[in-house]
Amino acid sequence: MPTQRYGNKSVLEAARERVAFVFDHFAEVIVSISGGKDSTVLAHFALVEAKRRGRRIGLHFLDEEAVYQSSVEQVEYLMELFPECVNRLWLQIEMRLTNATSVAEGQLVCWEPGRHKDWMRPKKPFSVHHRMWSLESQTVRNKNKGFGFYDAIENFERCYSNTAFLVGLRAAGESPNRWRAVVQNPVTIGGESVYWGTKKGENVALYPLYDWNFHDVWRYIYDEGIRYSKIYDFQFKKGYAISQMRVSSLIHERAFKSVCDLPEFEPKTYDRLLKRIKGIALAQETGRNAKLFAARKLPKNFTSWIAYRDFLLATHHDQDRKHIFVARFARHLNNEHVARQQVRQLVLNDYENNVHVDNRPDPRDELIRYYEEVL
Amino acid sequence: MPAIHIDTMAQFVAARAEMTPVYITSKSHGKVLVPCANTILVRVELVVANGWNPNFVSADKMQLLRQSILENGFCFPVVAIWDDESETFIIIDGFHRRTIGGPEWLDFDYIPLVFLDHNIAQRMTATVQFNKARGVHQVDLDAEVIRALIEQGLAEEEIAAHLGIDLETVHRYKQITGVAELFKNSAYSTAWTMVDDD
Repeated sequence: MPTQRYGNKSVLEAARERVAFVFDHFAEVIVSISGGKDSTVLAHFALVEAKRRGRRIGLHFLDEEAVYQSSVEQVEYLMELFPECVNRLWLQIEMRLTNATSVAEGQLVCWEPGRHKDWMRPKKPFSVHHRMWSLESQTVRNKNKGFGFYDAIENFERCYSNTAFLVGLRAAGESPNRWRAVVQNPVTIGGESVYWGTKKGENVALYPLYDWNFHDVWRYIYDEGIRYSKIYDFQFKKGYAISQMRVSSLIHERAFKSVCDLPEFEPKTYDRLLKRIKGIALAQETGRNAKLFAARKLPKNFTSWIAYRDFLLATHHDQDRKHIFVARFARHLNNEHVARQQVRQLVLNDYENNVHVDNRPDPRDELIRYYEEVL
Repeated sequence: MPAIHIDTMAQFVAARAEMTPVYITSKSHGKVLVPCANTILVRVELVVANGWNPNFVSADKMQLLRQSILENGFCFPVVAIWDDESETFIIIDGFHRRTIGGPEWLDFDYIPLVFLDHNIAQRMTATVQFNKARGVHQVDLDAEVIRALIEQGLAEEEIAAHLGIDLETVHRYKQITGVAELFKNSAYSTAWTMVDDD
Protein backbone atom coordinates (compact mmCIF):
# COMPACT_ATOMS: atom_id res chain seq x y z
CA MET A 1 0.00 0.00 0.00
CA PRO A 2 1.61 3.30 -1.05
CA THR A 3 1.82 6.11 1.47
CA GLN A 4 1.86 9.86 1.19
CA ARG A 5 5.26 11.63 1.56
CA TYR A 6 5.99 15.36 1.55
CA GLY A 7 8.98 16.62 -0.46
CA ASN A 8 10.77 19.96 -0.49
CA LYS A 9 9.05 21.53 -3.51
CA SER A 10 6.01 23.73 -3.62
CA VAL A 11 2.94 22.44 -5.44
CA LEU A 12 3.60 25.15 -8.03
CA GLU A 13 7.05 23.80 -9.01
CA ALA A 14 5.83 20.22 -8.82
CA ALA A 15 2.84 20.88 -11.10
CA ARG A 16 5.07 22.62 -13.67
CA GLU A 17 7.35 19.58 -13.68
CA ARG A 18 4.43 17.20 -14.01
CA VAL A 19 2.97 19.11 -16.96
CA ALA A 20 6.41 19.20 -18.64
CA PHE A 21 6.69 15.44 -18.01
CA VAL A 22 3.35 14.91 -19.76
CA PHE A 23 4.46 16.97 -22.77
CA ASP A 24 7.73 15.00 -22.89
CA HIS A 25 5.93 11.67 -23.12
CA PHE A 26 2.75 12.37 -25.08
CA ALA A 27 2.38 13.90 -28.52
CA GLU A 28 -1.29 14.52 -27.92
CA VAL A 29 -2.54 16.31 -24.79
CA ILE A 30 -6.18 17.15 -24.07
CA VAL A 31 -7.35 19.13 -21.01
CA SER A 32 -10.92 18.68 -19.75
CA ILE A 33 -12.40 22.02 -18.74
CA SER A 34 -15.67 22.87 -17.00
CA GLY A 35 -15.51 26.60 -16.38
CA GLY A 36 -14.56 25.88 -12.76
CA LYS A 37 -11.43 27.17 -11.03
CA ASP A 38 -9.42 23.90 -10.92
CA SER A 39 -9.72 23.12 -14.61
CA THR A 40 -9.05 26.79 -15.37
CA VAL A 41 -5.70 26.60 -13.57
CA LEU A 42 -4.81 23.28 -15.18
CA ALA A 43 -5.68 24.55 -18.67
CA HIS A 44 -3.53 27.62 -18.03
CA PHE A 45 -0.54 25.45 -17.02
CA ALA A 46 -0.92 23.32 -20.14
CA LEU A 47 -1.42 26.32 -22.44
CA VAL A 48 1.71 28.05 -21.13
CA GLU A 49 3.73 24.85 -21.68
CA ALA A 50 2.23 24.36 -25.16
CA LYS A 51 3.13 27.93 -26.11
CA ARG A 52 6.67 27.47 -24.81
CA ARG A 53 7.09 24.36 -26.95
CA GLY A 54 5.21 25.68 -29.98
CA ARG A 55 2.67 22.89 -29.68
CA ARG A 56 -1.08 22.60 -29.85
CA ILE A 57 -3.30 20.99 -27.19
CA GLY A 58 -7.00 20.11 -27.07
CA LEU A 59 -9.34 21.92 -24.68
CA HIS A 60 -12.33 19.69 -24.13
CA PHE A 61 -15.61 21.06 -22.78
CA LEU A 62 -18.58 18.69 -22.60
CA ASP A 63 -21.45 21.18 -22.69
CA GLU A 64 -24.52 20.11 -20.66
CA GLU A 65 -26.56 23.08 -21.94
CA ALA A 66 -28.09 23.81 -18.49
CA VAL A 67 -25.01 25.55 -17.09
CA TYR A 68 -24.20 29.01 -15.78
CA GLN A 69 -23.66 31.62 -18.47
CA SER A 70 -20.51 32.50 -16.50
CA SER A 71 -19.18 28.97 -17.17
CA VAL A 72 -19.81 29.37 -20.89
CA GLU A 73 -17.96 32.68 -20.84
CA GLN A 74 -15.09 31.13 -18.89
CA VAL A 75 -14.71 28.34 -21.46
CA GLU A 76 -14.77 30.92 -24.28
CA TYR A 77 -12.04 32.86 -22.46
CA LEU A 78 -9.77 29.82 -22.09
CA MET A 79 -10.22 28.82 -25.72
CA GLU A 80 -9.27 32.34 -26.84
CA LEU A 81 -6.30 32.76 -24.49
CA PHE A 82 -3.64 31.32 -26.84
CA PRO A 83 -5.73 30.43 -29.91
CA GLU A 84 -2.68 29.32 -31.88
CA CYS A 85 -2.08 26.56 -29.28
CA VAL A 86 -5.66 25.27 -29.01
CA ASN A 87 -7.84 22.68 -30.68
CA ARG A 88 -11.34 23.66 -29.58
CA LEU A 89 -13.09 20.43 -28.55
CA TRP A 90 -16.35 21.99 -27.36
CA LEU A 91 -18.92 19.19 -27.57
CA GLN A 92 -22.58 20.18 -27.92
CA ILE A 93 -24.21 16.82 -28.58
CA GLU A 94 -27.48 15.19 -27.55
CA MET A 95 -27.23 13.63 -24.05
CA ARG A 96 -29.72 12.52 -21.43
CA LEU A 97 -29.14 14.28 -18.11
CA THR A 98 -30.98 13.70 -14.86
CA ASN A 99 -33.32 16.53 -13.91
CA ALA A 100 -33.60 16.13 -10.14
CA THR A 101 -36.12 18.96 -9.88
CA SER A 102 -39.10 17.42 -11.64
CA VAL A 103 -41.13 14.24 -11.41
CA ALA A 104 -42.90 14.94 -14.70
CA GLU A 105 -39.74 15.65 -16.70
CA GLY A 106 -37.06 13.49 -15.09
CA GLN A 107 -34.53 13.98 -17.86
CA LEU A 108 -33.19 16.90 -19.76
CA VAL A 109 -32.30 15.87 -23.29
CA CYS A 110 -29.68 18.53 -23.83
CA TRP A 111 -29.17 19.82 -27.37
CA GLU A 112 -32.22 17.76 -28.42
CA PRO A 113 -32.45 17.75 -32.21
CA GLY A 114 -35.46 19.59 -33.63
CA ARG A 115 -35.88 21.68 -30.46
CA HIS A 116 -33.20 24.25 -31.16
CA LYS A 117 -35.66 27.06 -30.39
CA ASP A 118 -35.92 25.80 -26.80
CA TRP A 119 -32.20 25.41 -26.15
CA MET A 120 -30.71 27.56 -23.38
CA ARG A 121 -28.54 29.23 -26.04
CA PRO A 122 -27.59 28.52 -29.67
CA LYS A 123 -24.73 26.16 -30.42
CA LYS A 124 -21.31 27.65 -31.15
CA PRO A 125 -20.49 27.78 -34.84
CA PHE A 126 -17.11 26.10 -34.23
CA SER A 127 -18.23 23.51 -31.68
CA VAL A 128 -18.62 19.77 -32.30
CA HIS A 129 -22.35 19.42 -33.15
CA HIS A 130 -22.55 15.67 -33.79
CA ARG A 131 -21.05 12.61 -32.19
CA MET A 132 -17.50 11.95 -33.41
CA TRP A 133 -18.02 8.19 -33.37
CA SER A 134 -20.35 5.83 -35.24
CA LEU A 135 -23.66 4.76 -33.75
CA GLU A 136 -22.56 1.09 -34.09
CA SER A 137 -19.46 1.60 -31.95
CA GLN A 138 -21.25 3.76 -29.36
CA THR A 139 -21.45 2.30 -25.84
CA VAL A 140 -24.09 3.10 -23.25
CA ARG A 141 -23.58 2.19 -19.58
CA ASN A 142 -27.21 2.17 -18.54
CA LYS A 143 -29.85 1.33 -21.15
CA ASN A 144 -32.66 2.51 -18.85
CA LYS A 145 -31.22 5.97 -18.76
CA GLY A 146 -29.92 6.19 -22.29
CA PHE A 147 -26.82 7.95 -23.56
CA GLY A 148 -25.63 10.15 -20.69
CA PHE A 149 -22.80 12.41 -19.56
CA TYR A 150 -20.28 9.69 -18.68
CA ASP A 151 -21.09 7.81 -21.89
CA ALA A 152 -20.18 10.94 -23.83
CA ILE A 153 -16.83 11.16 -22.01
CA GLU A 154 -16.04 7.48 -22.61
CA ASN A 155 -17.00 7.49 -26.27
CA PHE A 156 -15.14 10.76 -26.82
CA GLU A 157 -11.98 9.42 -25.22
CA ARG A 158 -12.17 6.26 -27.29
CA CYS A 159 -11.74 8.39 -30.43
CA TYR A 160 -8.12 8.85 -29.34
CA SER A 161 -5.12 6.66 -28.57
CA ASN A 162 -1.80 7.31 -26.75
CA THR A 163 -3.30 10.57 -25.57
CA ALA A 164 -2.89 12.24 -22.18
CA PHE A 165 -6.19 13.50 -20.80
CA LEU A 166 -5.49 16.09 -18.10
CA VAL A 167 -8.14 16.50 -15.41
CA GLY A 168 -8.19 19.11 -12.60
CA LEU A 169 -9.04 16.57 -9.89
CA ARG A 170 -7.58 17.41 -6.47
CA ALA A 171 -7.12 14.86 -3.68
CA ALA A 172 -7.85 17.52 -1.06
CA GLY A 173 -10.77 18.77 -3.08
CA GLU A 174 -14.18 17.60 -4.07
CA SER A 175 -13.77 13.85 -4.37
CA PRO A 176 -11.54 12.02 -1.85
CA ASN A 177 -13.27 8.78 -2.87
CA ARG A 178 -12.36 9.22 -6.48
CA TRP A 179 -8.80 10.02 -5.44
CA ARG A 180 -8.47 6.81 -3.45
CA ALA A 181 -9.57 4.89 -6.55
CA VAL A 182 -6.91 6.67 -8.62
CA VAL A 183 -4.04 5.80 -6.28
CA GLN A 184 -4.91 2.10 -6.40
CA ASN A 185 -3.88 1.85 -10.06
CA PRO A 186 -0.67 3.71 -10.91
CA VAL A 187 0.21 3.95 -14.59
CA THR A 188 3.66 3.38 -16.08
CA ILE A 189 4.94 6.20 -18.28
CA GLY A 190 8.48 6.07 -19.71
CA GLY A 191 9.42 3.39 -17.19
CA GLU A 192 8.19 5.51 -14.29
CA SER A 193 5.30 4.53 -12.03
CA VAL A 194 2.93 7.50 -11.90
CA TYR A 195 0.46 7.58 -9.03
CA TRP A 196 -1.36 10.68 -10.24
CA GLY A 197 -2.92 8.96 -13.20
CA THR A 198 -4.86 5.94 -14.43
CA LYS A 199 -4.93 3.96 -17.61
CA LYS A 200 -8.11 4.56 -19.58
CA GLY A 201 -8.31 2.18 -22.51
CA GLU A 202 -5.63 3.23 -24.98
CA ASN A 203 -5.14 6.53 -23.19
CA VAL A 204 -4.08 7.87 -19.81
CA ALA A 205 -5.97 10.20 -17.46
CA LEU A 206 -3.59 12.39 -15.44
CA TYR A 207 -4.15 14.71 -12.47
CA PRO A 208 -1.19 17.14 -12.20
CA LEU A 209 -2.93 19.27 -9.53
CA TYR A 210 -3.71 16.32 -7.23
CA ASP A 211 -1.84 17.77 -4.22
CA TRP A 212 -3.15 21.34 -4.58
CA ASN A 213 -5.36 22.92 -1.96
CA PHE A 214 -8.06 25.44 -2.83
CA HIS A 215 -5.90 28.33 -1.61
CA ASP A 216 -3.11 27.26 -4.00
CA VAL A 217 -5.62 27.42 -6.84
CA TRP A 218 -6.73 30.92 -5.87
CA ARG A 219 -3.17 32.12 -5.33
CA TYR A 220 -2.23 30.95 -8.83
CA ILE A 221 -5.28 32.65 -10.34
CA TYR A 222 -4.32 35.87 -8.55
CA ASP A 223 -0.61 35.68 -9.49
CA GLU A 224 -1.25 34.97 -13.15
CA GLY A 225 -4.14 37.43 -13.41
CA ILE A 226 -6.37 34.76 -14.94
CA ARG A 227 -10.08 35.41 -15.38
CA TYR A 228 -12.34 33.13 -13.36
CA SER A 229 -16.08 32.42 -13.25
CA LYS A 230 -18.10 35.26 -11.70
CA ILE A 231 -20.12 32.67 -9.80
CA TYR A 232 -17.30 32.41 -7.24
CA ASP A 233 -17.54 36.12 -6.46
CA PHE A 234 -21.34 35.86 -6.15
CA GLN A 235 -21.03 32.86 -3.83
CA PHE A 236 -18.46 34.71 -1.77
CA LYS A 237 -20.75 37.73 -1.42
CA LYS A 238 -23.58 35.40 -0.37
CA GLY A 239 -21.39 34.06 2.44
CA TYR A 240 -20.48 30.64 1.06
CA ALA A 241 -17.42 29.05 2.68
CA ILE A 242 -14.57 29.35 0.21
CA SER A 243 -13.86 25.63 0.39
CA GLN A 244 -17.52 24.90 -0.48
CA MET A 245 -17.76 27.00 -3.63
CA ARG A 246 -18.79 25.07 -6.72
CA VAL A 247 -19.56 25.84 -10.31
CA SER A 248 -21.51 22.92 -11.69
CA SER A 249 -24.45 21.84 -13.76
CA LEU A 250 -27.69 23.40 -12.59
CA ILE A 251 -30.01 20.42 -12.40
CA HIS A 252 -28.44 17.04 -11.54
CA GLU A 253 -28.83 15.23 -8.18
CA ARG A 254 -25.93 16.89 -6.45
CA ALA A 255 -26.09 20.34 -7.96
CA PHE A 256 -29.74 21.36 -8.10
CA LYS A 257 -29.35 23.51 -4.98
CA SER A 258 -27.48 25.97 -7.17
CA VAL A 259 -30.89 26.79 -8.64
CA CYS A 260 -31.83 28.39 -5.27
CA ASP A 261 -29.43 31.27 -5.79
CA LEU A 262 -29.66 31.42 -9.56
CA PRO A 263 -32.19 34.32 -9.76
CA GLU A 264 -29.79 36.43 -7.69
CA PHE A 265 -26.70 35.40 -9.66
CA GLU A 266 -27.86 35.07 -13.24
CA PRO A 267 -31.52 36.12 -13.64
CA LYS A 268 -31.46 35.66 -17.42
CA THR A 269 -30.10 32.11 -17.13
CA TYR A 270 -32.82 31.38 -14.56
CA ASP A 271 -35.57 32.69 -16.87
CA ARG A 272 -34.33 30.55 -19.74
CA LEU A 273 -34.06 27.48 -17.50
CA LEU A 274 -37.68 28.02 -16.35
CA LYS A 275 -38.81 27.85 -19.96
CA ARG A 276 -36.49 24.96 -20.78
CA ILE A 277 -37.49 22.35 -18.23
CA LYS A 278 -40.11 21.60 -15.58
CA GLY A 279 -39.58 21.65 -11.83
CA ILE A 280 -37.25 24.64 -11.71
CA ALA A 281 -39.59 27.00 -9.85
CA LEU A 282 -40.25 24.44 -7.10
CA ALA A 283 -36.56 23.67 -6.69
CA GLN A 284 -35.78 27.37 -6.54
CA GLU A 285 -38.20 27.95 -3.68
CA THR A 286 -37.70 24.75 -1.72
CA GLY A 287 -34.23 23.45 -2.65
CA ARG A 288 -32.98 24.05 0.88
CA ASN A 289 -36.16 22.88 2.62
CA ALA A 290 -35.42 20.04 5.03
CA LYS A 291 -38.65 18.20 4.23
CA LEU A 292 -38.73 18.16 0.47
CA PHE A 293 -35.58 17.51 -1.57
CA ALA A 294 -33.11 17.06 1.28
CA ALA A 295 -35.36 14.47 3.01
CA ARG A 296 -33.97 15.37 6.43
CA LYS A 297 -37.32 15.73 8.20
CA LEU A 298 -40.19 13.31 7.85
CA PRO A 299 -43.35 14.99 6.45
CA LYS A 300 -45.97 15.18 9.22
CA ASN A 301 -48.44 12.86 7.45
CA PHE A 302 -46.07 9.91 7.84
CA THR A 303 -45.05 8.04 10.97
CA SER A 304 -41.94 6.34 9.56
CA TRP A 305 -39.45 6.65 6.71
CA ILE A 306 -40.36 3.12 5.64
CA ALA A 307 -44.02 4.15 5.28
CA TYR A 308 -43.03 7.30 3.38
CA ARG A 309 -40.77 5.29 1.05
CA ASP A 310 -43.50 2.72 0.37
CA PHE A 311 -45.96 5.53 -0.35
CA LEU A 312 -43.56 7.15 -2.82
CA LEU A 313 -43.00 3.81 -4.55
CA ALA A 314 -46.71 2.96 -4.66
CA THR A 315 -47.53 6.32 -6.22
CA HIS A 316 -44.45 6.48 -8.44
CA HIS A 317 -45.13 8.57 -11.54
CA ASP A 318 -42.90 6.72 -13.98
CA GLN A 319 -43.69 3.04 -14.52
CA ASP A 320 -40.55 2.63 -16.65
CA ARG A 321 -38.28 3.73 -13.81
CA LYS A 322 -40.18 2.36 -10.83
CA HIS A 323 -38.71 -1.13 -11.26
CA ILE A 324 -35.17 0.30 -11.12
CA PHE A 325 -35.87 1.55 -7.60
CA VAL A 326 -37.78 -1.57 -6.56
CA ALA A 327 -34.93 -3.84 -7.69
CA ARG A 328 -32.28 -1.66 -6.05
CA PHE A 329 -34.10 -1.36 -2.73
CA ALA A 330 -34.65 -5.14 -2.63
CA ARG A 331 -30.88 -5.48 -2.21
CA HIS A 332 -30.86 -3.02 0.74
CA LEU A 333 -31.60 -3.61 4.40
CA ASN A 334 -35.09 -2.62 5.48
CA ASN A 335 -34.73 -0.12 8.33
CA GLU A 336 -35.42 3.55 9.05
CA HIS A 337 -31.82 4.60 8.48
CA VAL A 338 -31.74 3.08 4.99
CA ALA A 339 -35.35 4.01 4.15
CA ARG A 340 -34.62 7.73 4.71
CA GLN A 341 -31.82 7.55 2.16
CA GLN A 342 -34.05 5.63 -0.26
CA VAL A 343 -36.62 8.42 0.07
CA ARG A 344 -33.87 10.85 -0.85
CA GLN A 345 -33.12 8.89 -4.01
CA LEU A 346 -36.83 8.76 -4.87
CA VAL A 347 -37.50 12.48 -4.44
CA LEU A 348 -34.35 13.32 -6.40
CA ASN A 349 -35.40 10.91 -9.14
CA ASP A 350 -31.98 9.27 -8.78
CA TYR A 351 -32.52 6.23 -10.99
CA GLU A 352 -28.78 6.24 -11.74
CA ASN A 353 -27.87 5.57 -8.10
CA ASN A 354 -25.57 8.60 -7.82
CA VAL A 355 -26.62 9.60 -4.30
CA HIS A 356 -24.86 7.20 -1.99
CA VAL A 357 -26.98 4.92 0.23
CA ASP A 358 -25.28 3.89 3.44
CA ASN A 359 -26.70 0.37 3.64
CA ARG A 360 -26.20 -0.77 7.25
CA PRO A 361 -28.23 -1.62 10.34
CA ASP A 362 -29.92 1.41 11.84
CA PRO A 363 -27.37 2.90 14.27
CA ARG A 364 -30.25 3.91 16.54
CA ASP A 365 -31.31 0.27 16.96
CA GLU A 366 -27.84 -0.56 18.19
CA LEU A 367 -27.91 2.34 20.65
CA ILE A 368 -31.29 1.24 21.97
CA ARG A 369 -30.05 -2.35 22.42
CA TYR A 370 -26.98 -1.06 24.22
CA TYR A 371 -29.07 0.90 26.73
CA GLU A 372 -31.47 -2.00 27.18
CA GLU A 373 -28.54 -4.15 28.20
CA VAL A 374 -26.89 -1.54 30.39
CA LEU A 375 -29.97 -0.31 32.20
CA MET B 1 -58.96 66.14 -0.14
CA PRO B 2 -58.91 65.35 3.61
CA ALA B 3 -58.17 61.74 4.57
CA ILE B 4 -61.07 59.61 5.84
CA HIS B 5 -60.59 58.45 9.43
CA ILE B 6 -62.44 55.31 10.56
CA ASP B 7 -62.94 54.78 14.32
CA THR B 8 -66.10 52.67 14.29
CA MET B 9 -67.97 50.20 12.17
CA ALA B 10 -70.70 52.75 11.50
CA GLN B 11 -68.15 55.19 10.08
CA PHE B 12 -66.82 52.47 7.77
CA VAL B 13 -70.29 51.54 6.50
CA ALA B 14 -70.94 55.22 5.74
CA ALA B 15 -67.54 55.72 4.08
CA ARG B 16 -67.97 52.60 1.99
CA ALA B 17 -71.29 53.86 0.61
CA GLU B 18 -69.57 57.10 -0.46
CA MET B 19 -66.61 55.39 -2.16
CA THR B 20 -66.38 55.70 -5.95
CA PRO B 21 -64.39 52.89 -7.58
CA VAL B 22 -61.37 54.16 -9.49
CA TYR B 23 -60.11 52.43 -12.64
CA ILE B 24 -57.15 52.56 -14.97
CA THR B 25 -57.21 51.03 -18.46
CA SER B 26 -55.06 48.19 -19.76
CA LYS B 27 -54.57 48.05 -23.54
CA SER B 28 -54.90 44.26 -23.38
CA HIS B 29 -57.29 43.69 -20.46
CA GLY B 30 -59.51 46.78 -20.29
CA LYS B 31 -60.55 48.35 -16.98
CA VAL B 32 -58.48 47.48 -13.89
CA LEU B 33 -59.62 48.51 -10.41
CA VAL B 34 -57.34 50.77 -8.30
CA PRO B 35 -58.33 50.20 -4.65
CA CYS B 36 -55.39 52.21 -3.33
CA ALA B 37 -56.99 55.36 -4.73
CA ASN B 38 -59.55 54.90 -1.94
CA THR B 39 -57.13 54.42 0.95
CA ILE B 40 -58.68 55.06 4.36
CA LEU B 41 -57.09 55.57 7.78
CA VAL B 42 -58.38 52.96 10.24
CA ARG B 43 -58.00 52.69 14.02
CA VAL B 44 -55.20 50.18 14.61
CA GLU B 45 -57.37 48.07 16.95
CA LEU B 46 -59.91 47.40 14.17
CA VAL B 47 -57.29 45.70 11.97
CA VAL B 48 -56.45 42.05 12.79
CA ALA B 49 -54.29 39.26 11.36
CA ASN B 50 -55.62 36.40 9.25
CA GLY B 51 -55.11 32.76 10.12
CA TRP B 52 -53.57 31.66 6.85
CA ASN B 53 -50.59 33.90 6.08
CA PRO B 54 -47.59 31.61 5.46
CA ASN B 55 -45.16 34.51 5.16
CA PHE B 56 -42.42 34.88 7.75
CA VAL B 57 -40.38 38.03 8.27
CA SER B 58 -37.17 37.70 10.30
CA ALA B 59 -36.34 40.05 13.18
CA ASP B 60 -33.72 41.98 11.25
CA LYS B 61 -36.15 42.58 8.39
CA MET B 62 -38.72 43.88 10.92
CA GLN B 63 -36.16 46.41 12.14
CA LEU B 64 -35.60 47.44 8.54
CA LEU B 65 -39.36 47.80 7.98
CA ARG B 66 -39.65 50.02 11.05
CA GLN B 67 -36.75 52.12 9.81
CA SER B 68 -38.25 52.36 6.34
CA ILE B 69 -41.56 53.64 7.73
CA LEU B 70 -39.76 56.24 9.85
CA GLU B 71 -37.55 57.42 7.02
CA ASN B 72 -39.92 57.16 4.04
CA GLY B 73 -43.32 57.38 5.71
CA PHE B 74 -46.10 54.74 5.55
CA CYS B 75 -46.15 54.35 1.73
CA PHE B 76 -47.94 51.04 1.27
CA PRO B 77 -51.36 50.64 2.87
CA VAL B 78 -52.36 47.39 4.52
CA VAL B 79 -54.76 45.38 2.32
CA ALA B 80 -57.80 43.92 4.12
CA ILE B 81 -61.37 42.69 3.85
CA TRP B 82 -64.19 43.63 6.20
CA ASP B 83 -65.54 40.79 8.36
CA ASP B 84 -69.15 41.35 9.43
CA GLU B 85 -69.04 38.66 12.10
CA SER B 86 -66.10 39.96 14.10
CA GLU B 87 -66.67 43.57 12.98
CA THR B 88 -62.97 43.94 12.16
CA PHE B 89 -60.77 44.29 9.13
CA ILE B 90 -58.89 41.03 8.38
CA ILE B 91 -55.53 41.53 6.74
CA ILE B 92 -54.78 40.01 3.34
CA ASP B 93 -51.41 41.69 2.89
CA GLY B 94 -49.38 43.82 5.27
CA PHE B 95 -49.47 41.85 8.49
CA HIS B 96 -45.99 43.03 9.42
CA ARG B 97 -46.83 46.66 8.68
CA ARG B 98 -49.75 46.20 11.06
CA THR B 99 -47.43 44.68 13.69
CA ILE B 100 -45.17 47.72 13.38
CA GLY B 101 -48.24 49.82 14.20
CA GLY B 102 -48.74 47.90 17.43
CA PRO B 103 -47.67 48.95 20.97
CA GLU B 104 -44.35 46.96 20.89
CA TRP B 105 -43.12 48.98 17.93
CA LEU B 106 -44.41 52.40 16.80
CA ASP B 107 -47.80 52.36 18.54
CA PHE B 108 -49.80 54.17 15.80
CA ASP B 109 -53.32 55.56 16.28
CA TYR B 110 -54.39 54.86 12.68
CA ILE B 111 -52.92 52.88 9.83
CA PRO B 112 -53.60 53.35 6.11
CA LEU B 113 -55.78 50.59 4.69
CA VAL B 114 -57.10 49.47 1.33
CA PHE B 115 -60.38 47.62 1.43
CA LEU B 116 -61.13 44.64 -0.90
CA ASP B 117 -64.45 42.85 -1.34
CA HIS B 118 -63.05 39.30 -1.65
CA ASN B 119 -64.58 35.93 -0.76
CA ILE B 120 -62.58 33.37 1.28
CA ALA B 121 -60.83 31.69 -1.66
CA GLN B 122 -59.97 35.04 -3.24
CA ARG B 123 -58.51 36.26 0.06
CA MET B 124 -56.19 33.28 0.45
CA THR B 125 -54.93 33.35 -3.12
CA ALA B 126 -54.46 37.14 -2.90
CA THR B 127 -52.24 36.69 0.17
CA VAL B 128 -50.02 34.22 -1.67
CA GLN B 129 -49.92 36.42 -4.77
CA PHE B 130 -48.87 39.47 -2.76
CA ASN B 131 -46.18 37.53 -0.90
CA LYS B 132 -44.66 35.75 -3.86
CA ALA B 133 -44.96 38.10 -6.79
CA ARG B 134 -41.91 40.14 -5.94
CA GLY B 135 -38.33 40.13 -7.08
CA VAL B 136 -35.02 39.26 -5.56
CA HIS B 137 -31.97 41.48 -5.70
CA GLN B 138 -29.23 40.54 -8.11
CA VAL B 139 -26.11 40.07 -6.07
CA ASP B 140 -23.86 42.19 -8.28
CA LEU B 141 -26.38 45.05 -8.47
CA ASP B 142 -26.76 45.02 -4.68
CA ALA B 143 -23.00 45.29 -4.51
CA GLU B 144 -23.17 48.26 -6.90
CA VAL B 145 -25.63 50.05 -4.59
CA ILE B 146 -23.31 49.56 -1.64
CA ARG B 147 -20.33 50.79 -3.60
CA ALA B 148 -22.27 53.88 -4.69
CA LEU B 149 -23.26 54.62 -1.08
CA ILE B 150 -19.63 54.33 0.02
CA GLU B 151 -18.68 56.76 -2.73
CA GLN B 152 -21.40 59.11 -1.43
CA GLY B 153 -19.43 59.20 1.81
CA LEU B 154 -21.58 56.96 4.01
CA ALA B 155 -19.72 54.98 6.68
CA GLU B 156 -19.96 51.19 6.64
CA GLU B 157 -21.88 51.29 9.93
CA GLU B 158 -24.41 53.71 8.46
CA ILE B 159 -24.89 51.52 5.40
CA ALA B 160 -25.40 48.47 7.58
CA ALA B 161 -27.95 50.31 9.71
CA HIS B 162 -29.91 51.82 6.80
CA LEU B 163 -30.04 48.69 4.64
CA GLY B 164 -30.71 46.35 7.55
CA ILE B 165 -27.67 44.16 6.92
CA ASP B 166 -24.74 43.31 9.15
CA LEU B 167 -21.24 44.74 8.83
CA GLU B 168 -19.81 41.49 7.50
CA THR B 169 -22.22 41.58 4.58
CA VAL B 170 -21.21 45.18 3.79
CA HIS B 171 -17.61 44.08 3.95
CA ARG B 172 -18.20 41.16 1.60
CA TYR B 173 -20.09 43.33 -0.87
CA LYS B 174 -17.27 45.86 -0.77
CA GLN B 175 -14.86 43.20 -1.96
CA ILE B 176 -15.50 44.06 -5.58
CA THR B 177 -12.02 42.84 -6.46
CA GLY B 178 -13.25 39.31 -5.83
CA VAL B 179 -12.22 36.04 -4.26
CA ALA B 180 -8.77 35.66 -5.87
CA GLU B 181 -7.63 38.92 -4.23
CA LEU B 182 -8.05 37.32 -0.79
CA PHE B 183 -5.29 34.81 -1.51
CA LYS B 184 -2.59 37.09 -2.82
CA ASN B 185 -0.48 36.66 0.30
CA SER B 186 -1.08 32.98 0.94
CA ALA B 187 1.90 30.62 0.56
CA TYR B 188 1.82 27.65 -1.81
CA SER B 189 1.47 24.25 -0.13
CA THR B 190 4.26 21.69 -0.10
CA ALA B 191 4.04 19.07 -2.82
CA TRP B 192 3.68 15.41 -1.86
CA THR B 193 3.96 12.11 -3.67
CA MET B 194 2.77 8.58 -3.15
CA VAL B 195 5.66 6.19 -2.51
CA ASP B 196 5.73 2.42 -2.10
CA ASP B 197 6.57 1.38 1.44
CA ASP B 198 8.83 -1.53 0.50
